[in-house]
Amino acid sequence: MSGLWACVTVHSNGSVSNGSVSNGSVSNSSASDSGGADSGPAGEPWLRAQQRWSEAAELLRTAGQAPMDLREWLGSGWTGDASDNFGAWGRQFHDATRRASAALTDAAASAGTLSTRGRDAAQYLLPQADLDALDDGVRRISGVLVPGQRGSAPRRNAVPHPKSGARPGRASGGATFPADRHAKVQGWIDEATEILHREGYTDDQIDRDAIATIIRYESNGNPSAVNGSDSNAARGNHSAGLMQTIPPTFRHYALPGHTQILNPVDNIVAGVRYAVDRYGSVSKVPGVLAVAAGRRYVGY
Amino acid sequence: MTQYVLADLKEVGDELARRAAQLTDWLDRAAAEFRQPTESTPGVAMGDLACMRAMSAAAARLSAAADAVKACAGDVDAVDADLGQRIRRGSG
Repeated sequence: MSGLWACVTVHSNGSVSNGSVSNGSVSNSSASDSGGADSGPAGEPWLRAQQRWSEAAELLRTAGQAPMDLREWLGSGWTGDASDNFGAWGRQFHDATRRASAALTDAAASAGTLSTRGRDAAQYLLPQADLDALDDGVRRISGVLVPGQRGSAPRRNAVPHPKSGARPGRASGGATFPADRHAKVQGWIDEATEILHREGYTDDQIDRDAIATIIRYESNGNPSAVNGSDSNAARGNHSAGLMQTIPPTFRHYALPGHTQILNPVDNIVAGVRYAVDRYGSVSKVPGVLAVAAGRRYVGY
Repeated sequence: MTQYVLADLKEVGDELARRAAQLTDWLDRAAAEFRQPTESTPGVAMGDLACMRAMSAAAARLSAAADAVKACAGDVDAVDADLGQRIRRGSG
């Protein structure tokens, strides 16, 4: 089956070509690769964004094509309801990802134009049409029901299933994560609590087990998790990161020097500060209390 | 025939899972880039967030589809085993 797939490589200038990648992943391009005439040694944000979005667009395109290729490859060997459902899902997924991929490509092109306009902050705005097209693509992807699924959209706080083959690891306390994330989550909690201790927070307020529980149920330890389906998302505030904070709350509780919402440590710091401010300590967050009592987790 | 389809289904499930993992890997690397202090212009942040939402949504859908296909393979396997038992009983 491996010969079926065209692997892609994203070059340092943002262009994409077919190629062979041994582990099936797209080659990484470092920030310093993106240097252009106006980029400087650290890389110009727009040029790096252009490169990142181009890579994402190609990945989305190939991922969206995959189910269609699979269905074609299976041919008449797979029949029945499951086959029909998969085929219908594949077509919808392909269409949705194609739209999102095209929107990302357009956004990348806009970024390339903006990067040449100078350094006035007022000019650093992506055209609204690009953002609207991206939003439409995301909505379409989220709206595609998976094969065999009927009806409802994904539940808020639904715990993602670990990848097959991934053995759950255990962070401090009872929270479990996919094995490949366990050590990372532990390290991020360590780093965040150290920062919070320096800010005067006490052990009682920032219990590590409670933090791990929140992370487990909010993002399953995925620092890149972005929620596009809950009530906050409907208002344009997408919960993001390990603790699934919404941007206004994150900005309010972020500490100086820790202002990146998808940075795992920064996200924990802000999320914990919010929880302590609202509930007195992370151990008193309703979801943590519910899990401790054997009930279902609720958002904070 | 059932065994042939079963093997295919398992490969389909694995391939979808690999595609989901690719997108997740991209998300992890993009998140790491957010540590860079230069990524502070509002337009970049808005675009990145929209981009990450698209990738996150696609990864979640592919991952769920992989699980669904693998479950389907499991069903086929169960039907196959049941059929085998019936044939053995009928010929025994």
